[in-house]
Amino acid sequence: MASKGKLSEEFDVLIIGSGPSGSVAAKWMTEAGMSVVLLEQGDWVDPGDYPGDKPEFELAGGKQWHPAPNFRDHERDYPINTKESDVEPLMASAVGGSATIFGGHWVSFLPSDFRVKTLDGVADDWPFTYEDQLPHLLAVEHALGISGTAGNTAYPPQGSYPTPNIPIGKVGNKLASGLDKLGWHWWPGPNAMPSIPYNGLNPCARRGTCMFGCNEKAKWSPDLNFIPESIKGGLKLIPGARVREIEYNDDKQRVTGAIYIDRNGRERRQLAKTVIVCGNTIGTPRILLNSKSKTFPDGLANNSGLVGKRLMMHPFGLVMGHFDEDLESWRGPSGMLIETMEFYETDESRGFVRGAKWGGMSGGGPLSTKGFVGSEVFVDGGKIEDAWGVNWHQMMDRRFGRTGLYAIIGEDLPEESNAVTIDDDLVDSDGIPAPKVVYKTSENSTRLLDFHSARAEEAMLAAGAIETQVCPQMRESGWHLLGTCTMGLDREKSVVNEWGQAHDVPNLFIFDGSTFPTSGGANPTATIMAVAHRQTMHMINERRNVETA
Amino acid sequence: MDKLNDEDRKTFAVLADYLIPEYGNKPKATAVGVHQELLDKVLAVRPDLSTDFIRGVRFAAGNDVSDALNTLNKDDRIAFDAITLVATGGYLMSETVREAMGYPGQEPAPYDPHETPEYMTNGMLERVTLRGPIYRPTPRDDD
Ligand SMILES: Cc1cc2nc3c(=O)[nH]c(=O)nc-3n(C[C@H](O)[C@H](O)[C@H](O)COP(=O)(O)OP(=O)(O)OC[C@H]3O[C@@H](n4cnc5c(N)ncnc54)[C@H](O)[C@@H]3O)c2cc1C
Ligand code: SF4
Repeated sequence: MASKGKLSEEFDVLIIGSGPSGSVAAKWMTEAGMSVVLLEQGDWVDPGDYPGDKPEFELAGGKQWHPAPNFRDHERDYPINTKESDVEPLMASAVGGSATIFGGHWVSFLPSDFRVKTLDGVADDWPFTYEDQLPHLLAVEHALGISGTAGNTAYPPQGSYPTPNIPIGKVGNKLASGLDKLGWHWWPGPNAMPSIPYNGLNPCARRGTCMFGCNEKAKWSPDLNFIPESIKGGLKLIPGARVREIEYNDDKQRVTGAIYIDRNGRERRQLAKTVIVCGNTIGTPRILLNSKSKTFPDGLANNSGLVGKRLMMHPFGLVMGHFDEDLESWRGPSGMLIETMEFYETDESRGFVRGAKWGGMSGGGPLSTKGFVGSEVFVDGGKIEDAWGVNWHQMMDRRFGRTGLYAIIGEDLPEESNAVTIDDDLVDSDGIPAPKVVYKTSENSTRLLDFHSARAEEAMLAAGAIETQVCPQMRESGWHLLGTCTMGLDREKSVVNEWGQAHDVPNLFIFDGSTFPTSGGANPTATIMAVAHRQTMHMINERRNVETA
Repeated sequence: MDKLNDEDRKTFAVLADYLIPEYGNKPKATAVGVHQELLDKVLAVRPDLSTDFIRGVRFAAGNDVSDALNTLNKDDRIAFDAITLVATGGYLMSETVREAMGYPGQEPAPYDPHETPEYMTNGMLERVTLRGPIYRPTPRDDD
């Protein structure tokens, strides 16, 4: 397809997407002296515009700042057909990607996560181990200024975090006391927010509005340091650039760059010797499936037929506990106060395989008293008078400021029927075909959530909760998007190799969470960034050998 | 749908006070202007609620408050949710209400990052450490 724009300069590397994964590649590659261009469909966000420091923040979180693109309806987002999905995928389109609104819960995967086939006989082992990615995790943690406490017994020894733990507050102490009574594992929460000034970030001020964006410039996101540093180092960032397709030259058998639509609706072509896709687990397969050529009529690098398949979204459980004392539970960070991995590893006597990590958090602002970050999860039944009038006031008195919660992040096993495809009709504001998500929660996930929710309720009661609420699975809980361009050694069964290089196209790479063979049961960004760093360093080291266009 | 008019405000005032009456030190909804300035503020932040809100309010106009709200909750949940969200959203933005609740807003809470936390000194974290590692290591062949 011909581009109307004039021919651009050819860069060593073209990265698509400026979230955690793309920004890792941009930072370390520009530092290594490579010429890098980064196309990002979103715009810069001014931290002053985040709603967190404004009284209306929770109202805004229900619409303009909602984490689901289908709810927000921003022109920079692409719509997603989710009619056949049990879960709504959540993300942001911005310089900095979804990290602009992520919770900053920093939880790296465990050794067993890389070996689920060997240990539990399910899904697939990763082509590398926990130990292989560890140095990369540590490099990323150092760059971000993660706050945390060394010695977590859920992990092999790892050394200390670059900044001290943020106070876990009254809620964190309360939740920890319950786990302590039961003799269960807990640890103060590591977070992607420093407790002291660090590498351009301010210390976390415990405002507690992390998932509405951080006004303090404390919660890490790429736009705060990685991207500006990279620009200083020569990165060419083009915001508002929406990639329609990656171009493949059938004769040379290489990709040559990408066609994108700029902010003014003009079609442009960007040339590069190597293309790295970091559009996230929905955005990346969408681009590949939209990139058709004689060689790849079913989508770029899709000889395996697996592009878009094996979508994983962590099953999410929520258990709230209300206490008989003022815990100032609107305080942050949110962010994790504490975490527990007590039931992380497989015990088949529970009726399911794999497990979950729980994050202990504060209840949040006053409007969240009946919900969780903008989503009303506990629906009233019966006569309205049961929930309103004096009863509403009494409910607020009982719960607001007195609530702790466990956010349960369960492992999702890969299934080919859970998939991202291209919708027949839906397009974004530039007319580019939009994705469709088909996703059913599995029996294993349902059992896992039932078990974990029951244990979390026990933990709340042990901590002294006078009232608990176990939430049925929330639809708007697709925070963690993984799979869809699986990494593996067998080209018939995977899309990219262990270095994120497409089996079918030597100068095409994918560095985001779409390459994860399995999902772990932990918030994924630490591991997404560690893996992106591993792939980036490999590319830098091998750059002379990488075949180029 | 038409724009919000004075009649709608009057109807909403009655609904809002029914949903949020005076209680202890907390004022009733209209006492803090939930039907006036706060209503404008809420709809400015959330114009998307407007149509459902107005539809619900007009349905309730002239009817018994309890009947109207219960019918909406049963037959037009979207309008009912818009009305309750506008009422609580506005109410909880009021400085007077926040003060009565003892809620200062999402203000910064300064701390000393180098202070030793209580869980380090009272034995709570040590007990976790003493129970030993709980992870399953990478199987040996991979080492
Ligand atoms: C509300 C919320 C809370 C979360 N909390 C946590 C947490 O506490 N801990 C945790 O570990 N994880 C959390 N996550 C997940 C975390 O945000 C993601 O794992 C992480 O951002 C993934 O990084 P990424 O770079 O792969 O993708 P993203 O951050 O999603 O970035 C992808 C970028 O690619 C761009 N893009 C996509 N398609 C195109 C195209 N065609 N052209 C140009 N640009 C394109 C997008 O605009 C976007 O900026 C949360 C997510 C959300 C939404
Ligand atoms: S709790 Fe900390 S990181 Fe979160 S929004 Fe507040 S200042 Fe930012």
